[in-house]
Amino acid sequence: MSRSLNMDSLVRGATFAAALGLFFLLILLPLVSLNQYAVREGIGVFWDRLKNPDAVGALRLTLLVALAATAVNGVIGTAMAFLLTRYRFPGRKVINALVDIPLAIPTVVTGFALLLMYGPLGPVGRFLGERNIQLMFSFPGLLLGHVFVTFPFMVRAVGAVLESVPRSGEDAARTLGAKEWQVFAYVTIPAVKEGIVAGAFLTFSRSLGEFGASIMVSGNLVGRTQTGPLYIFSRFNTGDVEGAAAIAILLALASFIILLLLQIVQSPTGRRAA
Amino acid sequence: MTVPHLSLEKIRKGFGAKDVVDDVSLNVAPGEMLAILGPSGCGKSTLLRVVAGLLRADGGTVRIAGREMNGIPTRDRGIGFVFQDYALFPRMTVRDNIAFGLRVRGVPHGDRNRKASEMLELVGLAEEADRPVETLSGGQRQRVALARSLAVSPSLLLLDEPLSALDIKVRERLRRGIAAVHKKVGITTLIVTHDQGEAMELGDRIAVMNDGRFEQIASPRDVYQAPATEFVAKFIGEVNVLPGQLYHGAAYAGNLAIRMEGNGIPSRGGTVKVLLRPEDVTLLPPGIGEAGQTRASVKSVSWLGAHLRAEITTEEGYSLTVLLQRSHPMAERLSAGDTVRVAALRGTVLPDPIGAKEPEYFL
Repeated sequence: MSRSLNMDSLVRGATFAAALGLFFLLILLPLVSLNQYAVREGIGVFWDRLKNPDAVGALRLTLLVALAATAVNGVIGTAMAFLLTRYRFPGRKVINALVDIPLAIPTVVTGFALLLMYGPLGPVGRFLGERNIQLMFSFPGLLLGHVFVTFPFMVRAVGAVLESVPRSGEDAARTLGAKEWQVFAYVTIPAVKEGIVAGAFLTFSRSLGEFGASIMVSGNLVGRTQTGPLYIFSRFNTGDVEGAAAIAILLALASFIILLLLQIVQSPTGRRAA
Repeated sequence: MTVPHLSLEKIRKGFGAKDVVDDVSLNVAPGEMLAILGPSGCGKSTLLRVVAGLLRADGGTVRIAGREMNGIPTRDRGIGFVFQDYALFPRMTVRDNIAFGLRVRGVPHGDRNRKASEMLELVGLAEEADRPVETLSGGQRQRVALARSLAVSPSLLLLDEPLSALDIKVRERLRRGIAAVHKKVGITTLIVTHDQGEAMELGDRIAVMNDGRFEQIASPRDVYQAPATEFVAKFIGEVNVLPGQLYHGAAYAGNLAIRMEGNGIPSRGGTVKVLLRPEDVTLLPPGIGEAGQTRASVKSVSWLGAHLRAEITTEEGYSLTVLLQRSHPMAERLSAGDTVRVAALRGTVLPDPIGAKEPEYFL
């Protein structure tokens, strides 16, 4: 009895130790070294690197694209979640599976596909190009890539909440005289608010770090379509490791704060406050 | 009946290949409370949702106050609906829940608050007006749901199993509460329930539903005393079902005679089903019997407090459940193994085209 119990606790202890060890080796230590590189020459130099106009531009663009992608997916992702959970129609399962495609394929493939379709060589790109609209290598192209890559987050976050909200609330509103938009605005949206908030945080955070699709569709134009992660990549490639690390640590910190906020919002006490 | 306030004509509704509601017609008089009673899955809730317009019927017509409702959305039907799971709006106070219907209709703030207060008074929740609904008990929530549905002054109230999520004590108290509110407001009401006690107490009439159809629509008294079908008899209360023969204006189950009560059974000979309520069978000391009585041996006796329940087997081999009042002269000394005489005080006789079967009895 006690022997097998000891074995059990041994196995459990080893598993925990392995999990913690990997966490340190793979997540914490690299972040620490990133930090060391960033501030190696002192806080003043670190600060100067952040104030570099190209860096500021890249950070501002990252922020703008992330906000825009969150707004766009906030609407179409919520609509898609609503469609998938509240209606039964032919092809629902196929669409449901397709929603997760951006998680499964490499983002660089996503960017490549968008480029082939909407770039100067693609059918849609050519059509738009003849009308002087350039989608790729511009903000709209970048946004398109980010919307695609982050699409599943909003759909899944809202869908999970919607699944647990009984329809009788919506029906009750109808029997009380509410028009369909009132049902949606006063009953459905408040009920899935948590899902929308969680989805928004995840979308935003994922967009901050998006690289693969961005590098394909943006053209990596300094000061115009270069986002934070692309700036880091360029700096590293030109040997400016400290410059890359400065922005990198800032982006990592931003993501951490967002995810921490999400934890707080989703905790029971946070929910009560909301 | 006067002009019905609600009239259903040949309503049909199916899901997939199965008809859940099958050609159902019904009239409800103004101010009447009609209970639709049936086992779960019989189609009663589906029917209610069709009346509300939450489901579209495959066929038939719903009329409310003479107006045809086909194609009219739920919000314009002038109904109130109370759901089994309350369906209150979370993160809203009691008052805001009750005022919701007035708010979406654009009633000014002051007016809708006044109306909400009036409704809170009606259901006895004036003290709780500003509490969030999450903090209420189940019974209080259902009272809020009732007040909310009445706040928009509907002409028809639809209650879908309003009490079945509550525990028994609360359920009985709230049942009386609903009856009182109905009496005060006088609104035409359709209540769906699987609880026979609820249907008996609340319904002016009861429509017993089975497998998508109405088996009988009648007063609680008639549904109990003169069930139209074996299903109705078994669903409402306990009943003994015996095979019988018609003979000279009476039905006989063996030697046991049941006087016919003019329920349309031809008195010429034939096979019938005899339905006997346990309290409509009485026991007498053995001795010399009269015609129409039979002998039986007592198999078991159990005391239920106000009543005594005996399981007996007649000399013809029929098993019967008998319910005696505590004050019945035989009650005090009856015990298993006794021989008794049995008489039927009243019973229902139904045609049985399939013919005599093995004797059955039901709990």
